[in-house]
Amino acid sequence: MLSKSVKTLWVLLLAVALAACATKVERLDTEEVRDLSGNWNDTDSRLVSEEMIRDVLSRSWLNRYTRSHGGKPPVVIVGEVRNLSHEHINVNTFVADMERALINSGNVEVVASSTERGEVRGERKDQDLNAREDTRKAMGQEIGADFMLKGTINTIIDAEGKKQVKFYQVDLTLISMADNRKVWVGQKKIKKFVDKRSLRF
Amino acid sequence: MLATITQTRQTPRGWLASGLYLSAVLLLSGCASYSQRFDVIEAQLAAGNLPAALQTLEKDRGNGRRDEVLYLLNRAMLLRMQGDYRQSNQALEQAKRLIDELDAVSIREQAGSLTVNDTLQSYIGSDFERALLHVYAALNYLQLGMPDEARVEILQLDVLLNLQADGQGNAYSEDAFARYLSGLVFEQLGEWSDAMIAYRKAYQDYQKYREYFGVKPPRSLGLALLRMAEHLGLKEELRRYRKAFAIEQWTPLPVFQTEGEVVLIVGTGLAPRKREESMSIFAPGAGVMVRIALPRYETKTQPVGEVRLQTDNEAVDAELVEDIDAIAVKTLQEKMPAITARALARAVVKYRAAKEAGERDQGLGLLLNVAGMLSEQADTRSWSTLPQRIYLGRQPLAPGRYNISVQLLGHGGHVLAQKQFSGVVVEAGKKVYLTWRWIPPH
Repeated sequence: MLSKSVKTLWVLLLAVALAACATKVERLDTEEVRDLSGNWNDTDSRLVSEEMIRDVLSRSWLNRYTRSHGGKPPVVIVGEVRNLSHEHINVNTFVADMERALINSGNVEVVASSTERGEVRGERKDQDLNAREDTRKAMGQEIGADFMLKGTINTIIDAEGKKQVKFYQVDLTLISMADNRKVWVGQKKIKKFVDKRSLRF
Repeated sequence: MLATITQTRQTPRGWLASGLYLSAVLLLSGCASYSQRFDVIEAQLAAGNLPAALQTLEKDRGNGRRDEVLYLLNRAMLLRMQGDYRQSNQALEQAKRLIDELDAVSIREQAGSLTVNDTLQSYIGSDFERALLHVYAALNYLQLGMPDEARVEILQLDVLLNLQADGQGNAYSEDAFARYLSGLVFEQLGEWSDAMIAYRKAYQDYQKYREYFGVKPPRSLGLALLRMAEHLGLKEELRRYRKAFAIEQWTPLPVFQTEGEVVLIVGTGLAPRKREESMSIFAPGAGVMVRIALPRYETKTQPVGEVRLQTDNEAVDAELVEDIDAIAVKTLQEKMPAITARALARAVVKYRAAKEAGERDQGLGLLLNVAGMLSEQADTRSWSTLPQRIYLGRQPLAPGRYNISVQLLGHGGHVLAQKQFSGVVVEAGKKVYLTWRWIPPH
């Protein structure tokens, strides 16, 4: 009979050899919440944009502006949303969500942001040279925005061993271009507790 | 010896078991150690042939997932040296995710490490390597002109260093250079109080660096501390730093901000490599002499004496900010008792298994003995593409275009190498990062 230690030895080694397995794919609904690493994910992005959109469209600044401007909707430009957090967060997804909701509501007009308009201007310049005169768009006819949407994402992390509490705070501000007045401030907080596993196979 | 094997009565199950064990051991341990395989890359780097080094690395990625982090770290460093900062950061980001995943204790790998050798454990980097991962990611972002993303790395670094600092007793529990760089990033973004906190931490950590690694607080850090302390109205600290650095004159922050600054970071040489050293040692658990293999750092000579940054009419010295040689050697030294204990325990397990098997079947015992000896290998893995030393120089300059030359001087004052950065654009209130990695030819 074999001794115990020799047996354990080769059982272990066999386990090492057999440990590989195939890739598995499973489709998920975009609304489904699935947290893997505890990092910022699609669910967080969606929660933030939904909350912000609901808030920004229901506040008094919108009515006040349209009333005082004879029913003309305000024009908004999206400025920078600074990522001051602990993670490389893609802020574009929820900025895009917000832009879409603002435009689709019909109550707000949005102009191209500073990063987008460069390309548009280039095209206009090109039209000047290459397009038929009746279809050519003149320069200097852009609409100046009334408000700028800016914001920050901040995090506070408290970690001890394998445990972490993550606190995200997203602040968005709508600033009047005419006089720097802040007409709306939106805030969304998300708090997570991450307990990393301490054992694996 | 062959005669003994054929004469003994064979137990088929025993032979099967040991055969499996032997082949598994040979499969798992590979032919050459990690450190040996790196010789080729080192020669290519010394010859200045980066693409070839990268190719060699891609061809030999080590033992799959266990060495994946190591592969990614080396790849990131080589890509960075090629100036491909974006891809370098992709590799670093992958490495980060993998380290996070592998950080949990693996039952299987622990068993492997106790029965075969330490290289069966997944490599997740030593403390200083994990801190430097963030440092290099931040540098990549700074050179890509993305200071906000560099700030993300700095914050991650802060979480990591705070966790490491719990092991206060070690020589390396904080990274002074990482803290200094954090201060630079905050300063660049105009976050004065955060910059002050980071500079202050760097200063404290350099006290410890001086004691353990012989690296003293750089003068440029002193100037930064004085500027910040003065601006934030910290009179008591200002007095202390003035005395500690013996600096009487500095540019106040508002004036400093009207100028730009060139920050030069030079990495020299290659980090020390681990070599295997075997020894026979008395195992108290078994009452016999056993052979164990242990890792040992082998440092190279350090040819650089001085790093000089020269603009059109001014010259400053870049100062030593991180001595990776010293840190690596010291941290391994502190880990040696645990590594030795594990190697001893392993040797005893192997010895007992062979002995018990040998009592029933001599040939089997012999085979297990050979397998046990062959499989005894030291873990010589380390992030070998890191530099040996890091130097940092800061030169405030009025806005404009500059030609900047950097000279590496040997201990005798002769020029070892020089590099020209031409047309460097300096803007008011901003920092330009220039980096250079120099590896001495063989």
